[in-house]
This record gives sequence, C-alpha cells and structure tokens, in this order.
Amino acid sequence: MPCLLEMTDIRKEFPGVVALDGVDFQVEAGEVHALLGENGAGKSTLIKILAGLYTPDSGEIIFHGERLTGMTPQKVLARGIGFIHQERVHIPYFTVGQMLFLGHEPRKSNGLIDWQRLYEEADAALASTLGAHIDSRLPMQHLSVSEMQLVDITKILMTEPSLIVFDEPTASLSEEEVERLFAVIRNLKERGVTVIYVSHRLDEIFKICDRATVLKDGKRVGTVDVKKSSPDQIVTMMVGRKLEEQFPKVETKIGKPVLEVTNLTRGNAVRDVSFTVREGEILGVYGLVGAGRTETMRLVFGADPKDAGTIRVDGREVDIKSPGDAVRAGVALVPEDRRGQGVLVDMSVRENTTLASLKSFSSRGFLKLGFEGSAVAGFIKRLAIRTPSSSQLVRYLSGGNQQKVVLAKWMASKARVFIFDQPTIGVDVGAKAEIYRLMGDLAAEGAAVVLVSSEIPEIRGLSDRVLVMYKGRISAELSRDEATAEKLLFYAMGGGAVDA
Amino acid sequence: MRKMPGGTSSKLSGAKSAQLLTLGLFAVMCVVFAFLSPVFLTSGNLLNIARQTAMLAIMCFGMVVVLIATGGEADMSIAGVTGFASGVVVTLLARGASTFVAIVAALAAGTASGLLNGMLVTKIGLLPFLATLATSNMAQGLEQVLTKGTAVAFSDPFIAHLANGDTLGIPTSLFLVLGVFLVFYVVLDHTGIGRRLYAVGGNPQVARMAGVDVDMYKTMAFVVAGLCSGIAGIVLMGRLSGLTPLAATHMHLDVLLAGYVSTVLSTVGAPGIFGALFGAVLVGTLTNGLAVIRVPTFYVNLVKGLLIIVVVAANAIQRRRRRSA
Ligand SMILES: Nc1ncnc2c1ncn2[C@@H]1O[C@H](COP(=O)(O)OP(=O)(O)OP(=O)(O)O)[C@@H](O)[C@H]1O
Ligand SMILES: [Mg+2]
Repeated sequence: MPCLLEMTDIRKEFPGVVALDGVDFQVEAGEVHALLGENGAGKSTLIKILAGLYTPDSGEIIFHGERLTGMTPQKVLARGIGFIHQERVHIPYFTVGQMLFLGHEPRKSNGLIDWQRLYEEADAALASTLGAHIDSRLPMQHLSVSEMQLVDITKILMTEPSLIVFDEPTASLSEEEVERLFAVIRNLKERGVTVIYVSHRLDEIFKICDRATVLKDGKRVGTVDVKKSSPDQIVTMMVGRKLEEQFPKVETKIGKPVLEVTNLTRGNAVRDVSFTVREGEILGVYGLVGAGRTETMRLVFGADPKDAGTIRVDGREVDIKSPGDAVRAGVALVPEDRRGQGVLVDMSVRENTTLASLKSFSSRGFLKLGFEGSAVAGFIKRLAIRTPSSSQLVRYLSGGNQQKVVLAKWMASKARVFIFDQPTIGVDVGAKAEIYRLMGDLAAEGAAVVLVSSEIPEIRGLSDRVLVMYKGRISAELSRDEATAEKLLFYAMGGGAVDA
Repeated sequence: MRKMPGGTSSKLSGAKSAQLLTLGLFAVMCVVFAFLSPVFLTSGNLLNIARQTAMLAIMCFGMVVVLIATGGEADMSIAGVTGFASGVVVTLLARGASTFVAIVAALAAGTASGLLNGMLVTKIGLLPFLATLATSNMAQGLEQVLTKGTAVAFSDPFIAHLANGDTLGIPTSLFLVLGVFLVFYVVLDHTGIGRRLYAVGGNPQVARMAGVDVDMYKTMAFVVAGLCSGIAGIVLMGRLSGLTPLAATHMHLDVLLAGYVSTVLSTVGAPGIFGALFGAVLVGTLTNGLAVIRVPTFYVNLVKGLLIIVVVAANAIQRRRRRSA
C-alpha cells in the first residue's frame, strides 16, 4: 500500500525536555493507525507538529507525495487533514450551531447569516456523524464533556478530510458513545479516509486499528501489525518491561462507616440517593454518562448546592455548603473535568500538588518549603510524572501528566473520604496500575474510597461493593462477586427500574 | 519577580526577553536623564526620587495583590482612595484630633473602601474595573466634601518626619517601604495565604474545587489594596505639608503603569512583589527625570500613557506565546 503520510527523523526539543528525538512515522492510505506510548512519550507533540501548531527542529513531512513546509493550522486543514486534539477549546456562550459553522456560516442572499438554515444543517450534521442527539441551539457551556467532544468531531467531519487524527478521543465517552465513534471510524475507513488514533485503552486498539506505532521517551520503539500482535507485546514495547498485575486488589479490614449520605437530591439530576462507605472500603459507582454520578459526587463535595439530603463523616453530621467545607470535613474529590477544575496551568507542579493541603505543609502559617519539596518529589516519583523539575509550569506537561498532578494533589491531602471521578482517563497503563495501588493504600490506611468509573474492568477489579446509577437514582447495589459485566450493564441501562 | 523554587531559568525565552527589555529600558532612561541634566545623578536628587517613590511603591504593592488575586485586573481606585485617606487625616488634624487618631482613621477609610470594592466584585458580581472606578469617584467626592474643595494647611511633626525626614541618614519613608515590602514578600511567597491568592487569580474554579474560599481571598486582596492606599495617603499628606484638592489623582496613571510593569518582570507573567518594587522605582525615576530635564507636564502624561500601552502589549504578547507554546 502507498504511504499517505511519511514523517521522517522528526526532532523537537522544549527547554529541558527532548519531546521527540528523531522519530519516523509512516501511515498508509486507508488504514487506522494507532499511536501509542506512555504519558509524555511525545504523541501529542508529533500530532501537533503535523497540525502545524509546532515547528519541528528538524525532520521532513511528506503528505500525498508532497513535502509540507512552513505549515500553519489553516494550511494543514486546507490539505485535508483534520484534528481532534487532546485539549479542546470552546467558546462557552456560543451555541453548538455557531461553533460548528464558525467562520463559514450559511448566508442569505442579502449577506446576513441564515440562522434557520444554520441550525437545520447543524442538526443534520450532528445526527448523521454520530447519531448524536444534541440540540444545536444549546450554548456550549451547557454540554457535558462528552457532548462537547461530539460537537468537535462533527465539526471536523464537516470539512471532509482525507486524514483524521484523534488524540485520545474516547477519554470522556461512555461505552455506548465509544461504540458509536467506532462505527463512525469504520465507516470513514470504508470511504477511504485514513485515521491516526491515539489512545491509552488497549482494547480499543485491538478493536479498530490495523497497525500501531509505539513511542517511548521521544523515540520510536517500533511499528506492529495489530492483528499479529498481543496486548502484552504492545505493553512491553510501551513500558520497556512486562507489567505486573493490573488490578492489585489489596485485602483490607472494612471497619465502621466513614461517609454516610442520605436522601441526597438535586432537581432531576440526583434523586434521593443514599449510600455509605466504610473504613478501608472501595465503593465503585458505575453508570452511563449522564446517569448522575458526577453530579452526586459534586453535591457531596459542596461544589453544587443540594436541594435536600444529609451527609455524615465519621458519624457526625456535616453541613457542606462549599468545597472548602468539604475539605475541612475531610472529603477530597478528584474531579472529572481535570483541565477545567483540576490544574492551575500557570502554576508549577509543586504549587498544584500542595494546593489542597497547604495547612499540613505549613507551621504557624509559614510554608515549610523543604518539606513541601521533598513530598512533591515523592509524588513525582511514585506517579512517574514526567517533568523536568517540580517548578515546571503544569501548562507544559503532557495531558496524562497533568492528570497525575491532580491525583497527587488529593493524595497529598489527609482526607478521610477520597472520591475519584474517572481517575484513570488518559493515563498510561503503567501509571494506571500505580494509581490503583495508591487507592488500595489509602483504603488500607483506613480511608473510605469512592471510585466513579465507566470502565467495567476497573470497577470490577477494585471495588468491594458497586453502586449502579441510572437517571439520577441508584438502580442497584452489588457485592464484589455479584458485579458481573452483564449485571452492571443491565442496571446501568435501567433494567429492573421503575421509571418515575 | 515571582520566586520560583528551583528556578525556571531559561525556560521561557519570550518572558526573559521582555524582562531584559524592561531592565534595558530602565538603564537607557537613566543614562539619558543623566546626560541631559547635571542634577539627575546628584545625591540630593536621588534621595528625592526615593522619597517620591516611597508612596508610589506602597500603592503599587496594593495594586499587585489585586492583580494577583483577580488574574490581572487592576484596582482603579488606589489613587482616589489615597486622596480620600489624606483628606481624612488633614480634616481630623485640623479639628484637633491626635496624630494617632488621624492615622487610624485614614487606615480605616482605606480599608473600608477596599472592603466596598471587594463586596461589589464578589457579592454583586461587578467587573473589578467598574467597581473600583466607581469607588474611586466616590472617594474623590468624599475627599472634596471633607476638605470643601479647598487647600488645607497642615503641620504634624510625626507625619512630616515619616514622609520627609531622615533616620540614620536614610529617608524614613524608605524604612516604611522596606517594612511593607518584607511583610508582602513573606506572605506572598512563604505562606499558604499567598499560594491561595495566586491560585484564585490563576483559575478561580480550580481554586474553589481545592477548597479555597475564592470570594474571601478576592475580598481580602481589595482590602489590602485599600489599606495600602490608606498608608500612602498618610505619606502623601506629609510630603505636601498641606492638602491641595485631588492631589493624589495624578498618581492614577503612575500606579497603573507600575502595576503592569511588575507583570512583565515576572518569569511566569504573573505579577509579584519584586516586580511591584521595580515598577514603582521605574515610574518614580521616570517622573523625576522628566521633571529635571524640564519636559512639560502634558508630554509627561503622553509618555506615561504610551508606556502603559507598551507594557500591556508586551504582556499580552508574552501570554500569547505561552498559550501557543
Ligand atoms: N509546550 C511545551 N513546553 C515544554 N515541554 C513540553 C511542551 N509540550 C510538551 N512538552 C513535553 O514534551 C514531552 C512529550 O509531551 P506530549 O504531550 O507529546 O506527550 P504525550 O505522549 O501526548 O502524553 P499523554 O499521553 O500524557 O498525552 C513531555 O515530557 C512534555 O512535558
Ligand atoms: Mg498527549
């Protein structure tokens, strides 16, 4: 097969970091090509160079037999390469339709924007690409993370590119939406469109990719034919060693209740939710996107006001009205939208890591900078955060490493209850195992852990008990042994529920 | 300059070049003034610069705290509130109040103005620019009400010494500046309070989710700025030995300029206390230099206005580079 894209000997250095060190990358026409590697391996940098967002220090890019030089994002787009980047930018008060047609709005004969047609075409585009049911008149800020992404994908597909690059597209999608995305990708493939696909989820690679190129520390480890390969082989290429057990379930002693939530309610999003988490216990919370899991946790944490419900920590009723109250009561929440709510991009790794626990790093109000420094260094090591130093601004870390910083921030706090909302999205396999281990450690130290996740293996592998949510209610409570994939899905889809 | 533990040296060439540019500008400025006027480099004039800059520096410290906590929004009320505080001092002294009472009242007036700013911004949700501009006008109005819009004579040995006197051969006001500077430096760079202030300005949403009381910290920043205006008002009083109506108003531009200079000077584009001090010195020197080489006042305003554009533009370019990096 002919090469559609040939990137040769690409090099890119940032101050203190060699992001790409002479990488070769060839993509054949019509294939779905996976780009894999640990957090910070250089995947997004390679993609951004292709996109014309970064200029490589050296190297050559040939697309359709033509050498691309002096590229800008506009020029690249005009050549028929479309991108879904890892960090996405939206205009919050623009409607979905405005966002989709930004810069090429349909006009009436008098030159004014034809809003009627814009919204009709927007609805059609949304429906045809992903079967997405999003009202194109809604402002972007009212959409969930996954819906925003669907809008991005739709926008790219509207330009009918010959090569589409997805940088971790499924990070915030539900299983159902992932399946829909795969259907779109398969359909694109049939139409002869070539796809580059970046993801940390190996199962996805084996479902839809033809070949995979693995990067490590800015170098190409190799390219394999996915059908002739195995997850083990790919993981070994990525990590450089064989990985131990994925879900190291630690046996802990489950003690008295730590977090007791009763009749928590907010509008229709969360209805009459009650649950208890005990010392040493990991409680999994499963559900489809939109089931109300994130909203429930935000209520517990005081990030949104609740209509009704009581919360007890260690048997004492606490009046949580703001995240500040929650932190004081010993509750920690690792939010789902980590870029928007988790990291301060213009502050250092160090300042981000200790933000939620400054008290324990101070004595009489003064920061113990030495103590803080060594604690942060410990987290950088444990979570394998790839950064030249702890004073690096978080802005310059790779996506997955930014997420690790948020995890470190909450793990550094001496909370009683740790709520993790989709903690392993976007983190590489090696770090995932480490995060699971850290969660186990927290439980073993007597904390109560809540794990919100859409990944069934993760839920099954770690939880002592699982709650399933559907339409704002708890539709089932399952023990570790009962929680099979079939049952989880059954209850997540509303099976056995009486619809209110 | 924001202290970065471990040092981010050579990380951001864009920011670095903006810093060098500012420092270079300052050096060139000094050379030009020294060349054009034999007076400029005399010790008498340098001490004069120090005295003139003292008040500006204190105002600028307040400005920087607001810039930090709001992510770059200026407090437009600092000069106005400074004048108001002066009015309070002079009126009380004229009515026979003790120095102590006058000083406390001036500080209280500044703090109250800051609290008003903070409330307008956090409770009502006004844009800082509008809220502080409104407060500034009210403060100026109050000053005129107090002084009935006429010049008021004034003599208070303590305040005069604070503003014009020397201690151990060094202007007393420099000790005041140094004291305030040290407090700010320690709080901003060595306490949790400072960290949280930066976090609130960096991204209020993230700060909130980390358990920081965003509104409280924002309000605190405005209150601190108000307090600084109060202190500056007292010094102003001493310098003028009598209050001319709206004497502080012309400082408006100076504070704004010095505040933005502090932003350019930082490695991360975030304002900091070292930058604030440098900004004040730069603007103070500029004002003095233009005066000793006898540039007419209206040109002075033109130059300062232009400089604000240059500095804000440099900052914007720096930010944009960082975004696309
Ligand atoms: N603008 C930048 N300035 C400085 N360093 C950067 C910049 N962008 C990326 N880096 C560094 O380059 C390396 C590669 O980053 P990149 O974003 O390409 O990783 P990635 O493979 O996409 O990782 P992830 O899976 O976490 O998204 C990382 O060490 C990162 O910290
Ligand atoms: Mg990436």
